[in-house]
Amino acid sequence: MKPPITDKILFLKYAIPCASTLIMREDLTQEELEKLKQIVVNQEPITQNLHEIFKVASVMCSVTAQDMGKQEIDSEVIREYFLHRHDNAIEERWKEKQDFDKEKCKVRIITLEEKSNYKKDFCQDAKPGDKVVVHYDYIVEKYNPEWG
Amino acid sequence: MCLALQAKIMEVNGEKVLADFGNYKKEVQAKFVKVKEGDKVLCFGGHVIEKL
Repeated sequence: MKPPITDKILFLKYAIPCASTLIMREDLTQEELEKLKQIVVNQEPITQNLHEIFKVASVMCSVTAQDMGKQEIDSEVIREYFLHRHDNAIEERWKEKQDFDKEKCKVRIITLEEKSNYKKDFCQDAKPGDKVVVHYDYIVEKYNPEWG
Repeated sequence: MCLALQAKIMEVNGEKVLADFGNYKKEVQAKFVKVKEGDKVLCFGGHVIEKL
């Protein structure tokens, strides 16, 4: 049985799917991204400064943590931001400049279908019928209704 | 960086700052970045993400 994932790994699972934008803007190399994916899949220790790589997600999680009265970005904060606040921020950003794929950028909860094109790298045991969280073309994790 | 947009700080009022995005101005929060008038910053979701 795998140990529970760390908060940093959970953060990466939510943040990595839209990292193609960072590569496009040359803030991250493909090699660096592949290393981060490998860290998530193998649940390796993280030595990279995630705040420097994913500044937007990191600051938005910090804001969320502060709103929740928390000192640290933990799994509750990460899910509160990505599941409940992220899409509103995306909608607001879209109003300012329509230079990205708004729908792909949103974090969604879906029921996985038999024929699905979503990547299962971060959630390898996901099977058709499961309720899962998806971001871009990745299944981030299985959804737990208790998250609200 | 991701979807952050560049802006220039016009006014600072505590954590609330007025940012000029070029064709519009908007009030945003600077909770985790210290900014002053004239600073160029990146903003997203109503927050200053970093100073450039």
